[in-house]
Amino acid sequence: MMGPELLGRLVDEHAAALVLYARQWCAAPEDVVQEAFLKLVVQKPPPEQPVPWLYKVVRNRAISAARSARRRQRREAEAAARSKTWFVPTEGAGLDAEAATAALQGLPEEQREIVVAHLWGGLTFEQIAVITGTPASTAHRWYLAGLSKLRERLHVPCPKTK
Amino acid sequence: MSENEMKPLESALAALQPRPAAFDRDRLMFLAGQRSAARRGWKLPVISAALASAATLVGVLLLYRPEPQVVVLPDTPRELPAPPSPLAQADTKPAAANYISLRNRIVTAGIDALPPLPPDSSSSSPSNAIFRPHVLPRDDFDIPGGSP
Repeated sequence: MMGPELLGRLVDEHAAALVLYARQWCAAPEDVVQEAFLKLVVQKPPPEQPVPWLYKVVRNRAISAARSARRRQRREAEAAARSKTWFVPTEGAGLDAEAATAALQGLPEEQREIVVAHLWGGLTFEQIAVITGTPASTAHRWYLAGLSKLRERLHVPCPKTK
Repeated sequence: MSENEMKPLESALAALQPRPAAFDRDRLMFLAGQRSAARRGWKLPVISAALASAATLVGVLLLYRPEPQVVVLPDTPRELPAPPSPLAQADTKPAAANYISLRNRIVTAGIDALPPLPPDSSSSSPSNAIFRPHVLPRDDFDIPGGSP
């Protein structure tokens, strides 16, 4: 069974990225992530790779919660999900948090999921492939496609054209 | 588009910090401990309950155990030994009568009243050898001062 030290470290290091990951689908990502951590605690034996395991559980629960929410109050849930900025507002140089949020929300779901899991979750494409059920090469291709769209929407110049 | 061309964008995106999780970390840790404790020991309570039930059952059985009963059986007449068969009676009675009459004759008339010994059949019947010391011939007695 998982000890409190490891659980605390996982919460500190991955909770925010997991919430960001779950936010793609549902309006209450914190609940989903919290339940995922609580589920992790009672796993016997604990998963060998807890981080990908957490992402998989969060994904399944977030999609399930989104389906339930859609049945009940579709418009309200979508409005709530889109109203929040996904990132901490930045000051000075760097990408604008709201613009990045809008750009991410505009991506196709399969591309957005992979971009979030790789960039902020730190998962490898092999791990993402296991979670999403797609080949790693496909995950990598969708990642590059998502980045390309983000670059266009965020107006980030290509290094060669500088 | 190559991956190297995406590096600056990746770095810029990765620099964005996701909004912190809005749940209470301490509450999460408390709930985690609660669930792990609730999950941990279901075998031990079950075993303890089973043993306690067995002990209670044994105690109740001991408490209400019936006293050992003493069964008094009525006296039954002892079985008499089986009467001897008529054949055995026929064999023993004449032998006893013969012995008494022989004894009386020896007491009155002396040792000469003994009848002559039967012919020695030890070679044919080995069982007679057992009785031979008891039925000694008169010639075997060595009487001091008597005839040689």
